[in-house]
Amino acid sequence: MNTLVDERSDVQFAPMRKRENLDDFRAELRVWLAATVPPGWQEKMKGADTTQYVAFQRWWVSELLKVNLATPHWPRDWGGEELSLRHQIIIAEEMAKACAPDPDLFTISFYHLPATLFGYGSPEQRERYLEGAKNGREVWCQGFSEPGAGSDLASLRTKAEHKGDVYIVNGQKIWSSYGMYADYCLLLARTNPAAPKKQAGISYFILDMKTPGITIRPIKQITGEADFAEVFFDNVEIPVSNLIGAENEGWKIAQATLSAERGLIVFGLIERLALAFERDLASAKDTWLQDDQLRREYGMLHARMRSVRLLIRQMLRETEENPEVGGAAALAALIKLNWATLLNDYTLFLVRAEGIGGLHAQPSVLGGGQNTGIRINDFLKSYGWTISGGSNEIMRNIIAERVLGLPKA
Amino acid sequence: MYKNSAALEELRRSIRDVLENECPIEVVQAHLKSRNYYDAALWRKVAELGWLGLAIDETYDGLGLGIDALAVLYQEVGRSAAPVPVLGTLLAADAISALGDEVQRQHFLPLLISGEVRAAVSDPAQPPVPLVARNDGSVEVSGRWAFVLDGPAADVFLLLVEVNGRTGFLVIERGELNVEHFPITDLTRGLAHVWIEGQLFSKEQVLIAGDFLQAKQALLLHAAIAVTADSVGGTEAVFESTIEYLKIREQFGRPIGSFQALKHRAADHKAALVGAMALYEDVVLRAALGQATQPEVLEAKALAVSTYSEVGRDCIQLHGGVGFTWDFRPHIFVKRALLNAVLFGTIAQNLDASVWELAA
Repeated sequence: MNTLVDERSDVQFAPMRKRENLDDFRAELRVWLAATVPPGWQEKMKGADTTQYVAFQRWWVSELLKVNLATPHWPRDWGGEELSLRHQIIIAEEMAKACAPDPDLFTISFYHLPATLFGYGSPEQRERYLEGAKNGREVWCQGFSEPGAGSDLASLRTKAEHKGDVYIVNGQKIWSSYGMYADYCLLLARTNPAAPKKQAGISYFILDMKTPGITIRPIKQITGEADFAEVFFDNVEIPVSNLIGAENEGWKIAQATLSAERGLIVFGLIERLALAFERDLASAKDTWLQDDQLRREYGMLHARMRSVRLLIRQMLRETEENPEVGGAAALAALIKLNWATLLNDYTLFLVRAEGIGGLHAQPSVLGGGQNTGIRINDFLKSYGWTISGGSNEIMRNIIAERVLGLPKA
Repeated sequence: MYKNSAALEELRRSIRDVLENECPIEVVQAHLKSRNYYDAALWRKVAELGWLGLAIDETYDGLGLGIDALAVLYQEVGRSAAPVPVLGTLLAADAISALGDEVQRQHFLPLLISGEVRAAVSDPAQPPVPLVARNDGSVEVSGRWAFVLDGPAADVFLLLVEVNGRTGFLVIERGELNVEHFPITDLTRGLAHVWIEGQLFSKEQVLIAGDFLQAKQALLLHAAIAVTADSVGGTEAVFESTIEYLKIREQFGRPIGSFQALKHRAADHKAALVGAMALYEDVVLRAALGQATQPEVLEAKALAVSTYSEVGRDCIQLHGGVGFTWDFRPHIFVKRALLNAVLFGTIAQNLDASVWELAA
């Protein structure tokens, strides 16, 4: 893996110095990406093991840090650039065009942690944890879902009992993305089982993943990879200073965590999907393009892709114009449903379009995104979007009740 | 074009207000019973308000607005399923503006704007009927034009012809040709076959002054955007009325809209509608700027008409028993949706055209 890294030259680029002019900013990003993204990295990451994946992620973040592109949305006081949404959109567009790696190992570190700590953390917590997350030294994961608390997150049962200057945690978390590589965890646990509403008895903690009593097991997915972990707690002690906000206020804080990235991640993925549509069509001239049914299916999927792309831009524009509203929550549910369904349908379309070749079992590209070209893997992986982050069914409930005003059951 | 989206919204508001008052669902239902080809009172209103002149040049007493203003009109007409032959008449005005000489424009455009004359245009994508030019300056015509939209209500027909290697439209009054109504279940619009056998017409009746290929592209773009607009407007209307019904209809002691099986279908329809609407609004904006390409417009049309058909058909089912009755509105929209799905190319033909061009 490190052969990839060693080949890179150390030219100095400074996109941030060109931020005043959007065109110059974009142009500088482009030359930086051209010089920095290792050509053919996806091919080389095919079949890579998890150690290589983590090393590559860390290397990519170290490159991003050199030009301050890891956390450009953070406040200046914390080493960020306070970049406008418009700048961040340009970054996502250029990253997509350059097929740059996505620092997905650091999503919680770069987005969810700051959204939580800037809103609700104590000065000491910010001082202690933000720097390590920002420079990629410490990896964060999220401990929200449980086997019995998926869509119904508020029914979570992992317990944290206040005893002296610690909380004692017992229970189990699941679907913690990259939990096996994490140094710290944003943890939700029940502190008041007797609260009148289940949402009212939940608290929010910072958990050091090296604390005794923690067992971490990767979950093997239908793709054969393991992006998620389940985490078990047996009398795990968390110092009271690691409580975020007040006791039993965790549910409210969790909402801030979950709206952290404001659609930018899905925006970047749709930009990458749009490019995949172009690549896939260009490579199908002598194959499925000649088939009437498949050609027309592609046409309809292409129309849907364009519509989702327009919708996410519309949402980001609304967020930019009115940051307090945070990008019309109603539109967010409609976009999530349309995006996840489109990705699932399109990746399956490619499997079918390529016949037996579409079923060819090949090693996955760890960290290679949603459209690696390994058709069956891309299809199986797409369920990550239809199920996680609020399943399609939960999105439909939200749309039906909050957008259409249909009565609750 | 309207540079100002607030002005477009004002136009939409005013058209919607008029149609809500003049063409509520009861008026549409009365029209279905009447078996007329169009609603004459509503047509007079449409003309009086100047809607037929929205996109016609100011020289001929139009308002000189663009396709974005027309799209608003088509969307609102679709929303109220208004039984008026606007598309035939406005496509004719477009064809006369593009291909007619000054005398022809001076003659026809004011008649169309005033609503005095309703027109229909044969499909510009079909092969033209060849005319025989005679030495005395007349042309001899024998031919047939099938499925002419808004033909039953038309006083004047624009029929695609070719004379001496040039393509254009022959303009004929209804009395001069044979018109056969082709009955369709969508009673808010109409189709007709027309034919002529060996008759002579003056050469002045042929519109061939302009560049036909350019005019054809523009007409097809206009038609595709009109069908797209009508479809998103109709989808909104049938969907909104279905949601209202789900909130008031009770079974098992609660509103049927509280059942998750129905909610999830409704949510899927909303998501599809929002997607089709986003693509439609984008192509209208780009068309008004003169930037819309054929594949993007045809894709928007394919998505909008298939959304209209799919959402519409399920709106009958979501209504249950009353959805199966003539007196409830879903069937009116479903019948419009199914006609839209084959107007100016089927979904398959539109997708073929767009994907081949994307791949080129």
